[in-house]
Amino acid sequence: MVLELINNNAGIENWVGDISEIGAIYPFVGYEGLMVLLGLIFWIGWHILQIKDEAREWRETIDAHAHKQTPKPGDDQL
Amino acid sequence: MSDQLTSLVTIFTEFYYWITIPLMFLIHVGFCMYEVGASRWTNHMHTLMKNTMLIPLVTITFFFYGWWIYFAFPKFPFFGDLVASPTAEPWSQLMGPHLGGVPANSDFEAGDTILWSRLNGVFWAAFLLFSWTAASIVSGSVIERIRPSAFWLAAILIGSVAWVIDASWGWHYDGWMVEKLGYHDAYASGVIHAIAGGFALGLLVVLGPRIGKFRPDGTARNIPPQNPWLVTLGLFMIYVGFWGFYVACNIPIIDIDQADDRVFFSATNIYLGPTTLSAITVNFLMSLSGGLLAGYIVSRGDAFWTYSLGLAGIITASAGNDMYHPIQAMLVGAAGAVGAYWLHYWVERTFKIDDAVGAVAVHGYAGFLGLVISGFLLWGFPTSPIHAESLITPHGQFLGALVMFVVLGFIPAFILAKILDFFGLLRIPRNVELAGLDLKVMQERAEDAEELRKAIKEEEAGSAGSA
Repeated sequence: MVLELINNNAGIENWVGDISEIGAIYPFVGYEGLMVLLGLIFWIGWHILQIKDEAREWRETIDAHAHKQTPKPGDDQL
Repeated sequence: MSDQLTSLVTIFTEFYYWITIPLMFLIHVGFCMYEVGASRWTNHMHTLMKNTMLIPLVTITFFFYGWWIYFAFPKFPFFGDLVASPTAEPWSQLMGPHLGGVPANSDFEAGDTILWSRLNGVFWAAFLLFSWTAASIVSGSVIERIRPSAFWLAAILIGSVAWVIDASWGWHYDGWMVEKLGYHDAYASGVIHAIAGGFALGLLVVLGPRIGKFRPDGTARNIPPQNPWLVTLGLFMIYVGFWGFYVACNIPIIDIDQADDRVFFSATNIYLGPTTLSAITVNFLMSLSGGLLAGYIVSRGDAFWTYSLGLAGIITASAGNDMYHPIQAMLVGAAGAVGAYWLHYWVERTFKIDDAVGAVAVHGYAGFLGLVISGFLLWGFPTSPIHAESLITPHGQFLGALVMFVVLGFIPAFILAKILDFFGLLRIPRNVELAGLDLKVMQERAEDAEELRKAIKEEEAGSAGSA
């Protein structure tokens, strides 16, 4: 069903005819509001994940600082 | 588009803006190099990523609402309602691939659809690159102690909201600042640089200095750039990108004659006032030269400051670089460079503000000074053909500079920083700052390198044994 829905939402079916009549050509014309909503969810979700990951990173950095030696310049070079 | 001349003008305009976009991309490359060069080696990766990730975040938020703000806010909220902006809403069909054939919605004429289907994307992208620049200016000043998450929220606030409002008010032919104040800022002394400088200062006041920046007696320690040559190369790159910035501020070809029975095609500035690429090219170089020459003297040949003050020279002259004589552009650039340098150290000494790369000075103070100077030099000039009665004045430019630096720059940043600070989300933990933001990555890399060194030694020993 999903495949059928996708298959029926091509923005244009062929280039034959009066090209000056062609408007929007992307898939799912008419669903722009839904696409914006998906985009907003992706954006806000990214911030939530990043802030959580950042808190974890600071905890690990503080732990590493307490228990491991601080590298010197060149220690990561072969 | 069936008419060849109309097609040529439209597609030339589309191509013109497209060219400015990769040129302006170099501004961001330059800012990244500059910041990484200025940061200490224990912070390089986080410094780079802080600036890099503003690219996608400002881009998508500028798509969602930034572009719409520019068209909707020229008079809002003080002198009129929001303006309907059907081309710029994120759900507009004209925000996607569109061949112009069918009016996108009932608000739109067929002719507009043809034009905007070609130009909307490149206009959007050119403005977006200004947005990146505004946010990237702020990025350098707060290195080594701001949380990336906090900076990215700030980047979105200035890149997709604050600067776009100021552009709608003062960088739009029908903006209320243009109409009521005679505000004129052809190449964005205020609408990009003063606001970004003010915004950076608003963050810095709450964020505080890097650990060790000030001695117990309150005098400032110098924290030298880790890699001064990367810094200067980055600033060179910003100069290159600035060419695209200047060109993108113009409209390349449009009929500017206000009479109905005549036509006169010309390039214009953002206010639809006639200008030429020749004029702004000469003035760009002369104001750069004024800034570099003055910067070399006041900084006693320091490469970091000389390059930065060359940029300050351009920024100071930018408000009026469509109309200045080249000698005026040079002298204005020199004056702005001296003023920015002096103000940087005065503010640092007096208020203990740690602006790590001098961004508040080079962009904020220079942009502010440039607007004030242009108010005197261009006193009585018409700011735009659309509002013939609106003349440039010192008080109009000064008020405009205050709107940019304080109202839309400093205050929103200060409020955001206070909120984030209240929730403990503004500054990185003290132990992380002392250890270096990249500590964990550096340890992992050092362990990887050590393991590999051992493996290579074992292989070498094995090979020697079998031989």
